[in-house]
Amino acid sequence: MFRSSLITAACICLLTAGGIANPAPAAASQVSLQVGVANPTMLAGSKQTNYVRISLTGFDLPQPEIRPSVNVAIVIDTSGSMNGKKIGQAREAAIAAVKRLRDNDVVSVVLYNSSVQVLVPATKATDRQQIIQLIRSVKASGNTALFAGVSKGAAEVRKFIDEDSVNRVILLSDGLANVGPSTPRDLERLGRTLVKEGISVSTLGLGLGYNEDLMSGLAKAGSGNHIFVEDAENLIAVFNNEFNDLMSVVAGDFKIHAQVGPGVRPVRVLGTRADITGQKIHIPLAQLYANQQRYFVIEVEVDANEPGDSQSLVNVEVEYQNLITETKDKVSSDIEVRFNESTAVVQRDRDVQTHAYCAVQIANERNIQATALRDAGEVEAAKKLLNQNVLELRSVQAICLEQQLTEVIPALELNINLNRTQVDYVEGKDWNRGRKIMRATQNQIQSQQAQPYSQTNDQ
Amino acid sequence: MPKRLLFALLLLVAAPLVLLGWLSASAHQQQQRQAREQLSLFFRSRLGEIDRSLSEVIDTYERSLRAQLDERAVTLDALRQIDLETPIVRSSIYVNQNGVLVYPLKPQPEQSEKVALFAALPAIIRSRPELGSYSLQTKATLPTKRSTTGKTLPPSRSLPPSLSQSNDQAPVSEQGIVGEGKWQVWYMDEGVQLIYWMQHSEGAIIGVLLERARWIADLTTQLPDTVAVTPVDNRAGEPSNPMPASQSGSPGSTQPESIAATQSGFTALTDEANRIVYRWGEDGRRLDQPLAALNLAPPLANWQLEYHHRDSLAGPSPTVFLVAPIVGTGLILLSLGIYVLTNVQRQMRSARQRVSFASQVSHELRTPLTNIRLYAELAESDLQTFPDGQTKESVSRRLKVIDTETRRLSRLVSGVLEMIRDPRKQREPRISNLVPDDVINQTITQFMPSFEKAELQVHRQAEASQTIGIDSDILELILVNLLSNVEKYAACGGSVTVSSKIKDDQLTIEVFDQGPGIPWHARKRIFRPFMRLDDSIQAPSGTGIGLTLARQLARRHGGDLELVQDETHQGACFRLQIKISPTKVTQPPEAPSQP
Repeated sequence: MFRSSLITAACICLLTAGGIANPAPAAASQVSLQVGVANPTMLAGSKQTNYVRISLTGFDLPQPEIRPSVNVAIVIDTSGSMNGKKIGQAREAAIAAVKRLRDNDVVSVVLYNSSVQVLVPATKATDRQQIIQLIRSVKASGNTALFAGVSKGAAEVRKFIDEDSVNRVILLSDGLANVGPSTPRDLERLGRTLVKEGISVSTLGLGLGYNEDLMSGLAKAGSGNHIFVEDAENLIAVFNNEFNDLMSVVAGDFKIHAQVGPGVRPVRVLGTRADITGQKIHIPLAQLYANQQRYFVIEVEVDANEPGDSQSLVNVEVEYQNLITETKDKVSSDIEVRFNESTAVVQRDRDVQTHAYCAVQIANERNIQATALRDAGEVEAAKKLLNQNVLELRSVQAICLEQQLTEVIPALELNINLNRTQVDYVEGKDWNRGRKIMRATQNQIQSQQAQPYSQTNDQ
Repeated sequence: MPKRLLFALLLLVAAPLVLLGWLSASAHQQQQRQAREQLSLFFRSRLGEIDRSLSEVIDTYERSLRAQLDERAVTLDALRQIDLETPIVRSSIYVNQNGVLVYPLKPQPEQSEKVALFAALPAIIRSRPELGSYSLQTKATLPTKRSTTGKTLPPSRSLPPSLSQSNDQAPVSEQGIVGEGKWQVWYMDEGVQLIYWMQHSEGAIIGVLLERARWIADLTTQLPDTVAVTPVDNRAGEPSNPMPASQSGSPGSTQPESIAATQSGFTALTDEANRIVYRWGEDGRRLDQPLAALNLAPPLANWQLEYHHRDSLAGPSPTVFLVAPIVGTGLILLSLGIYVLTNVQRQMRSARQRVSFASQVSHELRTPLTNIRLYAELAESDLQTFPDGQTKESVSRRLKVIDTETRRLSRLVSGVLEMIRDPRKQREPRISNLVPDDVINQTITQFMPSFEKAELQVHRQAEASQTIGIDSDILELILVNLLSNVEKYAACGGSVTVSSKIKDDQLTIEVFDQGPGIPWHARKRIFRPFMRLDDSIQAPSGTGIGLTLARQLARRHGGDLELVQDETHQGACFRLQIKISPTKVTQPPEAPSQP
């Protein structure tokens, strides 16, 4: 058990709070927690908004062949629309995935159309040949009982649920849910309850016919990946990537609790549906991949303070299941802010890197707004938001380059490019496709996921 | 005629078939209804079992919630932890003994979902079910795990005075859950929401709003997958693999096909809006009327389990049993009918041949008859040149007999021909302008020799002396027939009265004899062809077609001939009525002469 607390009150330390809280020897098998604040020095005398960034970094797998066992349910849409090449590719992708499993992994295959069929009930992947044989027999016809498919898939995972394995439902769908509960909210709520149990849900949207709000919402709530697979040809690669992720999970079952200090009001957590009760914030997270950096941005409102004052801003405690050492570990950190009457001092003290990460998330929120505006037919307003994102991120990027903060540059560049290309989607005729890409990338930015959608010839 | 017969035959075949079909169909329907009822009952009991397994899910929630809240001190943090970590819980609700909502806290305005829920809470709390009047006194008598009941703080102090400062671990209460919990059903967001209310000691009330999506998912999980052998068979735990019959060739399939084949329907769980939440079984269309339906046990009483059968019929295909006897009976009836029909047709053909033979014979008779008459007339005129004498007179008398008899024979032949002529080919009346009385008198004159011989007196009441349009041939033929009847049958009467008058565009002729008369009951029979009242050897010779022919002719002329009753006289009286047009002046069209 290792606990880092910031005893030194010196404000300089606040800039690198995370660095201090990350002792070198233990890093190999510990998740590191970094808590930063965009403006460590805040303007005194009035109510101010500030952004806190909580960043978790997964450690490397000690040896590539040692990894936590996975407990995965592959839930495949076998509705009529999947017929043809799609179902063929889905079969091949699932078979390729099963081939990568080891004997102590647990796998189940659930098919759903009008109803649900548990093709392979949760079982140790010892007899992979038989499972593959069964997958080969999959055919497509009927409706889309997506909700029931996820429910039954989760039930299969639950049979062998273990806090030391990676528990995940992988949902593949190409259509709209039309049997059973079928609103994005229904699925989101289901995803949220699954995360409470330590089951994450990844969603693969195949083709141009699926409901991206539902699929991305489920993945977001389910703490998994959402990938837009435009061409069925890429399905095998996408499955492969998903299993790469799955097999590189180093920690799971996160309980991220943040408590803001008195006089601080937590407004929201950007891009994540966190629970805010009074001064307490709870952020759900199912797992962390090896070397993955996952961060959350909390927007807070700080009451007016006298210059020279300092106050505790937030205290973060993270409890998680270390899947390599198979122990429950805990890290914590807290951060303070100081108050100054001069805006120049505030500017000077700014944590540019944290600010840049926060800017990315803020821009992403605007990107979501732009999608909503485009949905409402307000193309110009949507374009305006996207262009505003490009401009703001560019200016942030310029400062970062100046200060040689290389870590955040790729994220900024990616977002600038995304917003710029998405201006075309918003204007373009093929909004259905553009919207799917936007949803996928929004999800990517929010969950800092590696691959938002399987690339075809553009982007 | 054969067409009508054919129709009659078809009717004869069809009628019993329809009857048979109807009877067997209704019997089958009855059977089907019974079978359906039995099936429905059977599946209802199965649905009942499923319902019990679903109730078990709800009961599990109830038990685990009670256990969770009972074992820990109910602090606000504990409630929040339950909200965050229990999958089924969407939000817990804590109402203190004063009816004040303590948890959840008022959310930040940015959290729209929480804000909406918070706004709905007062109404939910107001309409929560009554948990029964539990008081501290009764608590003391209940076996509880805590013996420190007496030490309990006064209710008002068991809660932190200020809600905003409830971040610390200050206990809300340290008592357990008491009494029965109750479910509340509330419509919000996507539909029915379930809230479980529990009574806490010291009068506080804890409610737990369940996550709708989650309990739907749990119910779904509890229900069988598709291709389960029986609706109640939960195969979730089995390693065997349920597969559709079509894929049974692949290894690992342990699904017994024969049993799977009998399951020709699907079961569905439907929500309060009658939408399908989950279904399993075959891929069928949902019918308006399920074979069996069952409402779930409370609290989900407005959810339903439905079983839909693929076809409305149960058991093996009944059409064979239904159709085979009908087809068999139809075949028998049809062959019988065809047999009868061919027999009738054969007889009809032979009758037709006979008629045609008679017609040909009659035609053949005509030419010699004409020749005989011609030569008799020639002989008569030749006789005039002979000197008067005994011989001349006797020859002349004999020639007259020849003439009379040939006329009679010729009338007979005409009558026969007229009789057997195809009704459709009969000629129209040839109307010409003449005085009816003249025609009548001429005809009577023809009969005078024979009447005189029979000592029959003719009384004439001629009142039809206007010129009218009439077919003289028809009129004469009718009169000849009537008078020859008088001559044959009523000569003993001694007199015959022939009256004629024209009144209201109608020519009425009555021939009234003093003979033995005709029985009244036979008044219709006598007009039938070949009908003779006295067919004995002693009876006068006759063919039995005279009256038939006379009436046919009268009708063809738009009139009628009938026997009328006259109480004052005993003889027979025939009345001929012919509709005439007195102003008719046009010449009748030149019709081809009839053979």
